[in-house]
Amino acid sequence: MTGPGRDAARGPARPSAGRRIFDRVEELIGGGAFVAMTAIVFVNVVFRYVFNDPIPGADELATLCFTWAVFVGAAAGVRQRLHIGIEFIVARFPPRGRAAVGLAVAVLMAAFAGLIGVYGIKLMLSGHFKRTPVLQWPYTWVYLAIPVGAALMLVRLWPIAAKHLARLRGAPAGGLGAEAAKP
Amino acid sequence: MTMPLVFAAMAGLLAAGVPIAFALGLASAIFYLSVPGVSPAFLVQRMVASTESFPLLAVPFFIFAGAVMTRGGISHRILGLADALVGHRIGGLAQVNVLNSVFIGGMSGSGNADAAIDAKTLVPVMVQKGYSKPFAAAVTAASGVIAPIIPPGIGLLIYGFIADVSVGRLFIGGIVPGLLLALGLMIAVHFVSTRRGYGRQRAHRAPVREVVRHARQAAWALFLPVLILGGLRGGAFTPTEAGAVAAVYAVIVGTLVYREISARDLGPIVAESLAATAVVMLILGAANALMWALTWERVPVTMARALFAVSDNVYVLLLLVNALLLVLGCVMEGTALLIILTPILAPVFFKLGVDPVHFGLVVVLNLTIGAVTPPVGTILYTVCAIVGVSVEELTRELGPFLLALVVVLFVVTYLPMTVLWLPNLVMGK
Repeated sequence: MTGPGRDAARGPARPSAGRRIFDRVEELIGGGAFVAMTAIVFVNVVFRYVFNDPIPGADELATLCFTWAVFVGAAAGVRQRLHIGIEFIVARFPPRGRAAVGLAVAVLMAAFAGLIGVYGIKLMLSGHFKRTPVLQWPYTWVYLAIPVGAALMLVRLWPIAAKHLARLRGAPAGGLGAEAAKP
Repeated sequence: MTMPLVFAAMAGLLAAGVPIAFALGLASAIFYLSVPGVSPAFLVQRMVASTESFPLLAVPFFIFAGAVMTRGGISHRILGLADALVGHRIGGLAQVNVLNSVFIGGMSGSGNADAAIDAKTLVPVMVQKGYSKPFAAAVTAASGVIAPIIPPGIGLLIYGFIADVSVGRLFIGGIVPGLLLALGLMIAVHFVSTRRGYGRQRAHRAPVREVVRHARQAAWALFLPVLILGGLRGGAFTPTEAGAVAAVYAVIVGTLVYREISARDLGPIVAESLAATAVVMLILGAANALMWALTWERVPVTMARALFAVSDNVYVLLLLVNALLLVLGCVMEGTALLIILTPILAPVFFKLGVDPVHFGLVVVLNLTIGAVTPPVGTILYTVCAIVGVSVEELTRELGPFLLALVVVLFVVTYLPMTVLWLPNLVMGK
């Protein structure tokens, strides 16, 4: 159940450039952070051994990227439905029951995303006065990843909730079986 | 009064199918919202704390290195070697499936990743050669337990971080138990295959020259665990640095040496690793927040006392932990259990004189077995989804393999030498 399959099912028309970026925004931000943190730690090892001179603040910068990769990547996980849960109970429900539970689950996930988003902003504001040990950057830049990730999660939860709602209202069910299978 | 509510909410949310990270987070939010003097800002802080940790940065690196090394072309070379080594045995392809997991385990620290590869590449061939689909799926799922135990392993890495134990020792300590798992599963495969008449993949043992040829083709890939363990043993790298070196090594081998991966393939591999990392780390962060709430309510102390009330005999308590983790592992995801239970159990057993490395292998092996037992098992789900069998069908074939895994678990639990001999030999006491 990865993104490309579902996107391709949307229709033969090639989506606009803006749309394509929007569909992959987590991979762009999170993937960038992922590559950056790998490169930083590796280059730092090389500097330490080859030039005997580690880069100051490299670890800090790498963990900053890690925070961004995790929270933004979590939204990619929502879009691709990779967050594992227990499904064997709900799978036994009739279609409408499944849609109802699916909608409730999406709402609960949104509630959690909202909670960490709001309190993430609070942390961000208070983080202004807290500085990282070496680079002396305000923690705002670390904590900003939380509301950004939470907002993206909400964006990705919306179509999922809408689909369950449509099914609940009696729209023709399609792809229910495909949806149950998760990698 | 808050904690029973938290647990009830967690059970309800999980049963409804709320993803594990969100269920843990929402349930602990009840605590953070209702207890005076505690703010939900603490919850978010506990969650983000695990991503601000340099040691845990090793998790995404090993996930990425594993994802690169197990791409099509590279995994075929490893498969060729496994076939040359055990293809001539009864139940040849099933034996290859088990041995392949040992090799993949040296590149990947995740049972899911290993099971996914065998499910995609080996199971279709097995079915074509007359093996029943549920049997092929069961072998694949059971051998998925080997990969997290053979170094590198994500579970061992996380345990080392929580319990403050040397990751190098844990990794090296996993080698013998990992090989014992493979041996146990191969024996189980032999018995089942004999009864069912599953034949050999090749008529005769492969000549030495052919084995050597396959080994040379796979050498670059098989060197990865040597690089990691060598760097950790000599103290050249921290585990995180070893992960980054492994990631870069994997990319170089994949693109320049084997030429199986082009620059264009790297994008999807990064995206896949990003999502896999986020899923694990979100569970880890939410479990961390729940753990903080449990500690606030002094649950760990109460549980430790209850444990001591049962017995103060190490062997009785280890048996109790084995049983507890096997049962909990059936209904809960492993990483979450690892985060929540390690801080509770580890101090008790360390105080009783159990070696921290030995205990780590026992806990991680125990929880990894939980990943193949129904109803909740991530490896189980992965294999079922890819192969296209139901959980029930797979479970019916799982019996002999599960027995083999549990026997090895008990051997590892009650013979600490199986874990400790190699790290003590290589790294000194």
